[in-house]
Amino acid sequence: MSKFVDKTLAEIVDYIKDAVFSEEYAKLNAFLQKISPKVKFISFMVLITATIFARNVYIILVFFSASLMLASLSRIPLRFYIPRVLIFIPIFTGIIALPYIFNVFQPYEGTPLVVLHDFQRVIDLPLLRPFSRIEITSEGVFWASTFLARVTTAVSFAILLMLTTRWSDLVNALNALRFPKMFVLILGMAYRYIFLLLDMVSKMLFSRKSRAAGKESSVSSWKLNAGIVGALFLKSYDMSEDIYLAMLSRGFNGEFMHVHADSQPRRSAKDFMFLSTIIIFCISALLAEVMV
Amino acid sequence: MHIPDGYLGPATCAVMFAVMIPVWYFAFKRTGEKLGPKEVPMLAVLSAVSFLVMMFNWPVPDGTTAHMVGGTLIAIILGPWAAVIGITVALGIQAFFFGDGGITALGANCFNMAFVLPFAGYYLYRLLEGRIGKVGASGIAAYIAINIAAIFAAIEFGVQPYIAPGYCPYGLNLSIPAMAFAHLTTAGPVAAVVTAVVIGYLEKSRPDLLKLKKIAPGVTE
Repeated sequence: MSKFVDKTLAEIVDYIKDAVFSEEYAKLNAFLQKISPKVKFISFMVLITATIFARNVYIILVFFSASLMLASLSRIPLRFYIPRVLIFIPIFTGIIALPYIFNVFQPYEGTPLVVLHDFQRVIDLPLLRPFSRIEITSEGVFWASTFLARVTTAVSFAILLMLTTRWSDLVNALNALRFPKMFVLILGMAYRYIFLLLDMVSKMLFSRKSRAAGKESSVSSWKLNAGIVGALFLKSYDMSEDIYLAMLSRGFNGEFMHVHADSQPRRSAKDFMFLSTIIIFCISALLAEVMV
Repeated sequence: MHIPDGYLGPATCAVMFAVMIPVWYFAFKRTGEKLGPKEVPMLAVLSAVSFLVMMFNWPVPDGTTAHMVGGTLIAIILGPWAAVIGITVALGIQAFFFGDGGITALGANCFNMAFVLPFAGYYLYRLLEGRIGKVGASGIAAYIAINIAAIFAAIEFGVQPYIAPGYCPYGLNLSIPAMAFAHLTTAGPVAAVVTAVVIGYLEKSRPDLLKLKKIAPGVTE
């Protein structure tokens, strides 16, 4: 467990570093970067929603190819983009999908693909279907991979939006789309704090690790995690006071404005073309699914 | 407890968003009226803390995942309406940038973790506070609240086999025991211990933080 936590955390920290680094791509002068953030946000919401309604694995692949194509058009190297999309899939979605490939967790009998263990007798556990073998079934693998493919594609669009849009432009777009002011303000601040707090957590874990020897019991690792959350909370409270004072001294009065704010909202024919192409693409992909 | 995309049928997703719209409306209205500029950065920090504690999750076979949320803690300090906003922000970032919890299931996830959980936690805390003290009350409130939220999540995806075949394959007979077991035995105790430890520390060293004005129904001053 503690190894898993360490690994998760190391990956998160790396990801965050990538995320900061990735404003590099948002500054390029390529295809998606030139679309206005507002239109881009709406278009990607359409793409994500359409992906989630797709149930046929081939249609999901069509959506995924579209995201790869958009990424190449925007001069994002695929060897950077694909790992970036995949890094969190196993941690959050993979662990939900994984149990389903085994027959014991499935609601009905499937076609066995690999038999992992044969008990030679029927085992009747509470809540589970009686089973005599543990096996990986083809239905389970099919369900899990469709599920993973769908989530991966949806995440790939969300990440592409992030990679090609500066965070401040995105926050401004949400503001322009009439999201509640309070929501946009807190979103903008919380996003930045996450980077800072993560750094704090990884330092705390690292310093604790550097002083520990031997194997740790799960009780003590629980205590450690509780303590770290407690310390994190107190540190962050003190920080929020400092930030409030810093904001006050720069003239904060409850209203806010972001840097790089769009001085004149561009509404070009290109934006319109992009949005319509996306909508037509999504409708035809979903229609194709109904017909297949 | 994050329900992923593809677990809930379209009708359920739509209903959960429809339920959350008035909740969000009132949360923003009440918080906008009551939250001073001083509490805004604090809410943003709490939202980031909630985001981070939710990252420490583990799988629940026949269910989704288990983790603590921090909703009771935010609700005790700033009130449940503020917690609605803080956790909604955290869940939104997780859904869009990390694929943790579905985008179509965001309504349902916010209902469970950003609405049911902080309100249950807040009222349980208020109920118990006078009798057993702040520390015990906060731990018990966090424990019960996360379990109530987990049961709501289990009901939401557990009814899918009956109303929307092709989505979540596990019925209520599996989803409720699986989620209840994981949260009663693992996420519940973590939430209880962490919440109680933080409240205990605050009571000792920063009692002023527990006396901030709460953004809750019926609190007028």
